[in-house]
Amino acid sequence: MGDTNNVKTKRHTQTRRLRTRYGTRSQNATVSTEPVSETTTKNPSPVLPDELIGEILVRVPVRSLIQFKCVCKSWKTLISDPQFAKRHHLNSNSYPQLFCPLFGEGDLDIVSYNVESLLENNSTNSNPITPYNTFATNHNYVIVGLCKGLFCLIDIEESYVILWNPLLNLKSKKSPTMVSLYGDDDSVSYHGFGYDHVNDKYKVLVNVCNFNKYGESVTRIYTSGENSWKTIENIPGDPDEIHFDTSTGRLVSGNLNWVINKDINSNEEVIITFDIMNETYGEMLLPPHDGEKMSNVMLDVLSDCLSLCFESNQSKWVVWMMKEYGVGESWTKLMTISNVFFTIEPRMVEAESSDEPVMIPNQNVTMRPSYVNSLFISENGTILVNTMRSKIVLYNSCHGRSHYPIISSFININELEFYHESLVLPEW
Amino acid sequence: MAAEKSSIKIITLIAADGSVFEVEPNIVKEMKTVQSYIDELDQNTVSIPLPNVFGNDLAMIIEYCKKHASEEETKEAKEEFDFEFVKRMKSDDKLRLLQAASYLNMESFLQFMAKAIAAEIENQSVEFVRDYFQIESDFTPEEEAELRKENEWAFK
Repeated sequence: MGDTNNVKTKRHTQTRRLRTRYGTRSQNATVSTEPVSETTTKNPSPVLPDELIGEILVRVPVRSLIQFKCVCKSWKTLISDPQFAKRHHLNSNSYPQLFCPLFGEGDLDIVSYNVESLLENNSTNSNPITPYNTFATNHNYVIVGLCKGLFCLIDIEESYVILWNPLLNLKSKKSPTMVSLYGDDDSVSYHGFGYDHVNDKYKVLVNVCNFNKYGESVTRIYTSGENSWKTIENIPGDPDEIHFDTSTGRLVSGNLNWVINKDINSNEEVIITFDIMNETYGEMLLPPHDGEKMSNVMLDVLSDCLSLCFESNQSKWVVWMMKEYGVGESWTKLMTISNVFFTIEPRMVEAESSDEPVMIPNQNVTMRPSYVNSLFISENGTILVNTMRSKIVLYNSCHGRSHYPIISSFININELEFYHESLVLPEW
Repeated sequence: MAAEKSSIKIITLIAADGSVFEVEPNIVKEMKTVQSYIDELDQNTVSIPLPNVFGNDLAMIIEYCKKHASEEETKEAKEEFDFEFVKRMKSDDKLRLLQAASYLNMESFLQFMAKAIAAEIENQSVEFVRDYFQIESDFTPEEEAELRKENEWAFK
């Protein structure tokens, strides 16, 4: 380690002098093919242009950036710029969290875990990220979807939607309300939230069924910047039969996706898609399944690809990934996981010898999950799944090993979301 | 794949302090500033002055490029190298190398350095960051106090 202090004072002048002088220096230069040793000279520390400061700051977590607004005025301007917020969000893939807002009546705490630490710590106890704001609410919100670090929430009783950035603890000022279609018989079947990159608009989609009249439903769409809801009729599939756990549209390549019965008289399931920009519905087939009985199909997003997890012949869970969105041939089977890893019978504890898997205390434990929600897959093939009822599981397909990260037993794990913190302002 | 430009055997890079580095063409591939210079010439040897890069910084950049251009090195070895490479640098070195990466138009090296600096400043205090980047606050004490109050939760 050399001594740098003695040059600090003349840094700036030195930089400028060297810049203007170079041209004549090359003739009498010393020839060397080996790297110069570090101790020969001490170079000045540069003053970076804003562009390079931006390159650094887009890689800094939001929490630090909020503090760094105090560094100086130009940093505050940069960090507050909506364009910077967008760029930052594109770069922030390294900081995903498992996020649970614990909605309900009254002020409630938000609990969030760093996914990286869950993967690293395996079965040891994981600590939630603190601090998180408390969400003050007297309303019963349901998450419509999340995108760019913003949650879209719907108040089921009063039928309005808001945007919320939990990190900044900001809610949208506007709260567009849906006009009732079927009066008291309005029943939300599925919903989704996404972003139209081309027109820079957020869109929320809510499918409303007539609770009293089977087969009658419409889709309502609200676009940011507009003051009215659009209605789409003659929608595909049978929304009446969709299960609450699978009612949130999965956003991939500008499309929302749900698994749904093909039509009212059919048990055949398909994926229906909704193109956020063009506002058009489409349909895709599930992966090929040679007579295998697929049940409890759940869509997810893994590594930015549409993925799907289902129970096969009531003995195992199978995870597929559509590597290229919209291309049926690109469906790839990622892994098969025995049922035993997801049940809570004591014998599964013996499946892991070195570590000690511990169960989350839960009064309403079911022996088998109804749905399995794939949250994250790491480079080495470890998948993080939420069994939706009792616990989350880390499973490595190469070693056939599982771990059970312990998270707070107060969390309703049905509501666990995969979340990236962002600086994006919640504005309709 | 014998490309037309393969006639160039050795490239001489001359740093701001006059120190000279002779490197093979594949080493400078990522340096787009240098590459565009080479592409314009049709010679066996090329000598390129780099007035904005200091000798010991250029030495480090070349060392990095050599490691990453090598086909024999495993991905793990390269990652290990990257880790050690950043570890032995002081904060000044990182800032200068980032600036050099920008000047040489080295996209992935720039990202690598930006990430290294980001990792060093994340979760650090405002004072640490000011010192790190040699920035003087231009807020009045009142303005700063108000800003801190507004975002109080982030400082916990």
